[in-house]
Amino acid sequence: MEPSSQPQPMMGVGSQPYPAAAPYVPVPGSLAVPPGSQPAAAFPNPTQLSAQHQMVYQQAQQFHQQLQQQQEQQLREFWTTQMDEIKQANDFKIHTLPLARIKKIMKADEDVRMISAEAPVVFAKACEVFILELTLRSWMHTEENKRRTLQKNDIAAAITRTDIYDFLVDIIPRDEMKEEGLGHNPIVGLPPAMGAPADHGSHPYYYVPAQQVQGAGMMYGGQQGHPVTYMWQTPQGQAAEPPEEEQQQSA
Amino acid sequence: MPRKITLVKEGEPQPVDAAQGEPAPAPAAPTAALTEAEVDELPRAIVRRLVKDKLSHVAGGEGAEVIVNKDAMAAFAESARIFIHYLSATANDMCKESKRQTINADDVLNALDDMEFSEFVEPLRTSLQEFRNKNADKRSEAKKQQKEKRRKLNEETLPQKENDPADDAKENGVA
Repeated sequence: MEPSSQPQPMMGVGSQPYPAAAPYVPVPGSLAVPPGSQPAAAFPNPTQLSAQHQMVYQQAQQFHQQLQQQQEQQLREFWTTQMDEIKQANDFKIHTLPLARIKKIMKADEDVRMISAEAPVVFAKACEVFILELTLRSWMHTEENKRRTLQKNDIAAAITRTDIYDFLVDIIPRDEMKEEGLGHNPIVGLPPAMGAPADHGSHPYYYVPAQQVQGAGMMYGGQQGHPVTYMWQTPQGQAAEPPEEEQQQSA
Repeated sequence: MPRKITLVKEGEPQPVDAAQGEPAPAPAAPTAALTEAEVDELPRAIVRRLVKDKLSHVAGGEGAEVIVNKDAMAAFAESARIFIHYLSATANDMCKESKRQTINADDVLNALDDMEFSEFVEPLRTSLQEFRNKNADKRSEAKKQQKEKRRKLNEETLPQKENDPADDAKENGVA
């Protein structure tokens, strides 16, 4: 009778380990029972073994879960970093000119104190447009001289012909100014070059008529707007001089 | 130098002129020498690429490639730097006329108008709007990232709760 009653409390101990409070209740019972009979001591072993197995299994499970969570976190961080880098690359492509450099140039002026985050962005874009426009105007002078190499005097010519480029006069050497004076002669060839680029090579002098000049002006005006219109007015004003210069050269 | 080359390559797809026309490669063109100090100078590679893209677009119909002298390329870079100085001084004047201390985007646009570069203002407004939209997108994504972080924190608290049963199981084993 005693052995049959003893296994029951052991079974209860095996199931109760999950609730925290339960294990304390059978402890005094087990303390009282072991001194009563030795055969009872042999039974707790398998129960303890199974309990130990369950503990090990649970620990392994928890460790595995923690490992999975850590790996997931690492993956998320990696992809977040990658996305940020991609965005930065896009930002760099959008702003061709480096904003930090532009800010440094702006700061060279001691009067300039604080600059908002958006200002250098507008500066970068404005500077880009400025370079493109200066390139176009310089190329016009290169074409007038029937060259395929853009030289510094082409830039000097563009600066001299454009009033809004007066702030750049200081970078033009006096020699360039003289060359620009010489460059006035090819202005005669400007209308045919602009008006008929296809026929420019074959018959440049046959396309001097005013109609083509007007057409060329309209074409470039449509492309660039006011700056080119202003550009056209200046050559027309200078057109009065070329004949005199030609006469001087011939003499 | 290789880093700059890499940056230039990354930047190549971006120019509008490139989108309009096919930018011609410039391996034969002479490389601009870095004669002047780079302290206040704009990156020559970028200026050179802008000039080359524009020239290939303008002179593309004639086929032959346009060569730009070293002196000319240096003059372009110097012109750009002087342009920035001129524009920043004018924008600073605009800022102070409004009795403010910080130069903002509107000051720059007003300065361009004052400098008679009025044609620049409209495309620059468009570019600025795109920049602001990009920033807005960044902020919304940043908020999403914060939410994800909070979820992670919540998930981290659950394992701590699970640890308690494990400790209890250990105590049972000791007993």
